[in-house]
Amino acid sequence: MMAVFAILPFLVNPLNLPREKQDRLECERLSHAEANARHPGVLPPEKPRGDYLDRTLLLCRERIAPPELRHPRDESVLFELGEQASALAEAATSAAPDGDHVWLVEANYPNAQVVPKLTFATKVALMRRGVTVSDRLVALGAGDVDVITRMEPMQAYPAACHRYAESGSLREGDVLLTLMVLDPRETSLHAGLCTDGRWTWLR
Amino acid sequence: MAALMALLLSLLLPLAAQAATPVEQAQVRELDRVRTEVADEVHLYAFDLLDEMVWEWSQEPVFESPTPVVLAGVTVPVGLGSGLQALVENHLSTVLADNPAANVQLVHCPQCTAVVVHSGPEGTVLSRGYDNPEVLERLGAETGRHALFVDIEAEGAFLVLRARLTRLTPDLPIVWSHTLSTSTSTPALLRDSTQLTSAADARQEYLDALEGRGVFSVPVRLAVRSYAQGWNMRATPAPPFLWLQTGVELAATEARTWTGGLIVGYSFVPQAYMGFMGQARVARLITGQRRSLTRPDLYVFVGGSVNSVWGAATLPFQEDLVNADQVLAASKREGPRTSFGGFQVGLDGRIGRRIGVSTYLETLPGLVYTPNMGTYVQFIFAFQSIGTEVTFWF
Repeated sequence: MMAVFAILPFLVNPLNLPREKQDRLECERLSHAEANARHPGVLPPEKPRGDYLDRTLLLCRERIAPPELRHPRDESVLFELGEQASALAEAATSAAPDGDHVWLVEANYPNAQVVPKLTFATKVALMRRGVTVSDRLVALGAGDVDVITRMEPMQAYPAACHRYAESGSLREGDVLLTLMVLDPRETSLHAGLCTDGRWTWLR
Repeated sequence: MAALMALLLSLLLPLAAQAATPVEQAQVRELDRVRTEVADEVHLYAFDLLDEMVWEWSQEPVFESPTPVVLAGVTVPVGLGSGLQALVENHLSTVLADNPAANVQLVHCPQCTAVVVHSGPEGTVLSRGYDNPEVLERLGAETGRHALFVDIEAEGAFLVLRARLTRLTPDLPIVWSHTLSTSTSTPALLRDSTQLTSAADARQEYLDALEGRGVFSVPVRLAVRSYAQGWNMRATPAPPFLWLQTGVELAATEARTWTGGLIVGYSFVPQAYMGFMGQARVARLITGQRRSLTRPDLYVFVGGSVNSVWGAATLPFQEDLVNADQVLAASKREGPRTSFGGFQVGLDGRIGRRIGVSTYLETLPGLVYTPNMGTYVQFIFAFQSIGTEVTFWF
């Protein structure tokens, strides 16, 4: 493979860039129709009777943060933060009980710098869906924290939800959307809803 | 307890620093270098997004009247330092101060951003000020204010700004939120904070700055050519010639590294001389690879010209020795007509897009043997003339 790469660099490595520069690029291949819609004039128009070549457009943009700058898990989560937040907001608003609610958002993530990013993006995505969102925080007493942090995540979140409601931290009509990673090695976010002390896993 | 922690940290940190191997230290240095490089690039995009947000506020204000707002939090892309955060905060403050139409007045509220501890019957709560408006009220902060949160994050090739405004009442409702993004394939627009325009207008200004110059330009030039005194002291030198010139200049590319021009000129001094000239010139930029929009540029040029002059004062261009009496006698009639060619080499300094000053040496091969004309500089060729020009481009 290395030999082929050396002999035919343009075939294997169409951008003909060093590996470290390629790693900074975010590329997508567009079909002829997509290329004409998004970047008109770059590709020649398709001939009415077809063409011998199948023309596509490889669109590359340079990533802002080089790969070595952030932890791979953080980079993976932040790379598609907007899409993830929109998808979670859509799933949450679909799963929420009917009626007017005030939405609260919290996140549990290994890197404290990423936590406000997750909650911020999700709150904005919820606002875009037209629901009422609050910056209010929910809190547990020290005794609750001591017990709940000893539990497995699958039991801890429902238990915390129950305690939020019982302690009055989560009011009637509030919906708490919680984002979390259940295993520090995974890069996908899980989410759950807490309403009136009842916990529902979204994913 | 805090004092104990501080003591422990002060003892452990030097040990940790000593424990770092040279490889780890090199990695930290490399990470710092990358962080600085990225922050340098990102801050202009971040400014662009802030400008756009404030411009949108000035077009469609969130508040009907000027409203005090606490800048509660600014977060920058994970991995970049607090220096970028300070830059972003300062820029946002500047842009908001320069755009009162946005109806957002940033106010200082140290209690809002501080960590506050409140003990009551329900327990002890540790929180930031703006997370606990009831405590803020007890601390004397005005209730009902708004808090602005701004988050900027690098998501692949896109820099995304999210902003939200929260009313600092016990329910902490978010009253406004917005998302803006820009990508690395779009240059930052560098808008003037005192005259914010839309992204589309700013983009058009940017294109105008590049394309408005065009590849063609029309120079109007006032030139003075002086001729050297001849070696024969009895000879009368040619007077300085004033030329008014115009023509067209063509740039090879938008960078204007190479330019070429064709110029025609007219010269007239009553009872002295009259003349026409044509000139071709090629110039090369020597102060960079492209013309600058902000600093002067210098070109070196070579050119060739053909001059046709007549009148009493043009007698010294004859091959015969001419004295003052002959010139005075010739002033009573039309005088001789002389045509000659010349080659120029010189420097052309340009300030901005409109003004230029140039000077050059000119050799006149057909007048080498004229006793009425000497040489200013002898270097490969005999340069008998020196010219100075002031040019205005249109």
